[in-house]
Amino acid sequence: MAEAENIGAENTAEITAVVFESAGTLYAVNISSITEISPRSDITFIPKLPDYIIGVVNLMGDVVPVIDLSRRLDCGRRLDCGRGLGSGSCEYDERSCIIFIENDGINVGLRVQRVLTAVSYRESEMIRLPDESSVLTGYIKGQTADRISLLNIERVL
Amino acid sequence: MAKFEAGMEAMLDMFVFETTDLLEKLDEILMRTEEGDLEPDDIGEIFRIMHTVKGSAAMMGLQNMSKLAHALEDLFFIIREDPSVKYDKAGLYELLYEGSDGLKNETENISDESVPLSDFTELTDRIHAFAQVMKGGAPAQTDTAAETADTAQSGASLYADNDEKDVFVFKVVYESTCMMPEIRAMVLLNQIKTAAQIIATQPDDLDSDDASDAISSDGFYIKMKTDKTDDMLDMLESGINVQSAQIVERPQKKPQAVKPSPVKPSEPAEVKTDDKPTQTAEKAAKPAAKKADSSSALISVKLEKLDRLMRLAQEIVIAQSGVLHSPDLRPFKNELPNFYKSSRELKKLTDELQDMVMSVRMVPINGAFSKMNRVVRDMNKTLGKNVTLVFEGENTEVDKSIVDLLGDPLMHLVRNAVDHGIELPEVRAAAGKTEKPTVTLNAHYESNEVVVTVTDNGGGMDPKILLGKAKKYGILTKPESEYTDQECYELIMAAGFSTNDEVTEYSGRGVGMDVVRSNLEKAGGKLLVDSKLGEGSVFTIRVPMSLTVNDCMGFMLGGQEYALPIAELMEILKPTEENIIVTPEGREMVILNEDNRSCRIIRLSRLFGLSGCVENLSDGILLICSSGEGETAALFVDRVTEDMQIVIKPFCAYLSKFGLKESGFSGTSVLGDGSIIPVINANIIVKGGAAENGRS
Repeated sequence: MAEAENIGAENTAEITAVVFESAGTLYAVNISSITEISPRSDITFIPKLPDYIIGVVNLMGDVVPVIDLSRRLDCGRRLDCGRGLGSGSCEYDERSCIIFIENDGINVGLRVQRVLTAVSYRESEMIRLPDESSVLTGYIKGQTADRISLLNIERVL
Repeated sequence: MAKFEAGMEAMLDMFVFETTDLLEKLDEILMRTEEGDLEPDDIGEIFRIMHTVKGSAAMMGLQNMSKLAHALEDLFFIIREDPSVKYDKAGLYELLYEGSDGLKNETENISDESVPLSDFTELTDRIHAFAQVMKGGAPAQTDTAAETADTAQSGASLYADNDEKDVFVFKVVYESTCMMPEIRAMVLLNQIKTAAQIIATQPDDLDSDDASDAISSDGFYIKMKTDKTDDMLDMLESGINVQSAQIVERPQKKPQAVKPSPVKPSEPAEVKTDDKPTQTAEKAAKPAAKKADSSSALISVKLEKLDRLMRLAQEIVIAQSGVLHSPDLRPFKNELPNFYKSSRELKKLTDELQDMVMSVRMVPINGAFSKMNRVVRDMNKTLGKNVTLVFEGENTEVDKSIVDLLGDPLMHLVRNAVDHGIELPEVRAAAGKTEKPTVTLNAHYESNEVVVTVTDNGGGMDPKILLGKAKKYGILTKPESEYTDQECYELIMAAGFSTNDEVTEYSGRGVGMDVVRSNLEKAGGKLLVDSKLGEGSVFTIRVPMSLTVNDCMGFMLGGQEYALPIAELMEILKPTEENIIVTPEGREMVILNEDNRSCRIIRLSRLFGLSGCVENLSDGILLICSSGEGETAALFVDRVTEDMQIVIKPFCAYLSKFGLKESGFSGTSVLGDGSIIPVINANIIVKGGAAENGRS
């Protein structure tokens, strides 16, 4: 009985996130904000935008902007302290994906190098960052020793 | 528990639509006639409006609305019957506005069960009182009318629709000291039985226990068939303990008669005892015929259906271009003469279809403007500023969605103009201003935008005061000295800014302007402000013509296709060594063909910061465009592709914050094959291109 309750509590607290790689670093986004993951490359360039917005794509009739995640994170880059966010250079190939995200009525695509897997974690397992203005909310442990950075979508947009 | 009668849900939409429509019409008539004369046609129209509202409300089981409408209808019944009747017009209009507002609110809230039904008793009583005063002025109808009002519920209900003319209801009132009036009544009935045919009585059962109370409190009613009413009255009055006896007037209208037939509002429901029933019938029949005429020519359609129709038409155009430009056709390009002939025919038809669908949605902007009449009128009453509202270009046709979109912003801007903009009369006089305080609404097109301005000739805004206030509220984002006047004016659109020190009924909560601006921006529009201290302010709303199909010219730049609305394109020119001039400053110009004018060349590749474009001028092509304000410039691109019909979508909210509009982009379009094409706005590029040209 007590065990069953325990499991129930555990289940409700569990969060699933999609893990992907961009410029050598692992990131994760809460699955509830993801609307679609698609391997697209037909991006239309729009001049005069910040360089991290690489263009727009047609997502079922909607014109959705696409953000290059590595460039987006790069432009807010501070002094790199050894093991930080990757090198910044990021090659895209046929295995690259656009992750479409909806947040507060805004639809955007995030271009990433690879979508790897999904992880489940509990709030308590997360190392929360005290700085709320960061593009990251915190870190979680991956299946291997890797640290996975949890993206704060509101900040990325 | 719904407010309206069970089983009427199906009618709800219709009721709300119809009633709102009628009340808007009423407001329009009131606004038009308040200053001038009330023409018989207007009186008839108001009467009919109230009559219909009354009927529909009764059908929905909304007694409060029905009674209020009835009271207003009565007022106009009196005026209609006797146009010479004297009344206090201002008072009448106050009542009418209040009544119309009450009915409007009630209609709006009808589906919202959290809002209780309004109690209009007080207002209805005031209207009745007003009617009494009016009747007092018309000696033809005196006390009897008052009596009717009292007894309408009891005695008059004995009348039935199909009663013949010689059927009357008499009311007998017994002295208050009379014991057992029911017995007296029974005796009385026996007496008159010989002289008249008794049809019914009220109370109907004189043996019952409460008959006595009913008679002493309400009186005793006898319905009988007689042709000698005077004799009957005498006979009744001579009865034992009888204090008075009189004939109860036939009710003018029977709510029951209206109830089942609200869809035929113009049908005369009145049954009158006067000797002029034919006249009334004629009067009512005429407008009925008029109404039938107009209703056959106009139908109301749900906006969703129109939206769907428009989307379909757009999809057809897109699908058509998908078929006609299919890559599969390319190998046979020159072998399909019949196919191309038919496809041109098809294109012509779809173009026409699209124009039709668009025109269906186009309505004059007047709909949004005329509502402001009411706003200004009410504010004039409370603020005493006596502002005149002037319309310009009110017949400008815009998409229905724009009229809806503009409603709230206009309301805010007009309120602001009257409340903050226009000074008090004393202040105006002190400043030596002689012109009338005026707020002007103007609507016109500018390239593919609808421009609506709200101009006041009030005090204008003082940038320093605005800056000071903004500082106080802590909403400055940079050092004070760096603010230009223009930026100061724009501060009033920042969140949490309010210039009026006092919060008034109309404005001053500091939530207005920033909400107006963000709502407009959401729809791809803009709100601009300009002002001159002492002379007034101008607020300009610019909204795209929204979802309209544009003829565009496609061109290539650095391997990607862009589109330029053909409306902005004057000429396409192939640059050659002969017609290009490079000034000693390094400015590139081109000589235009027709006259010996030249205009500067703007290299879009440099303006947009693109690489991989044609560099040599004679290898590319020039698109001669105008700024819409007289300036022209030539946009240098790699090559032109083809003309296309596209639907320009404004950029989504996320992208518009990067100032794409200012950079010369009006939006994107999804082509038939699903690809996206950016659409440029040549007007802005030509206007802003000088800086780039200087650099090159």
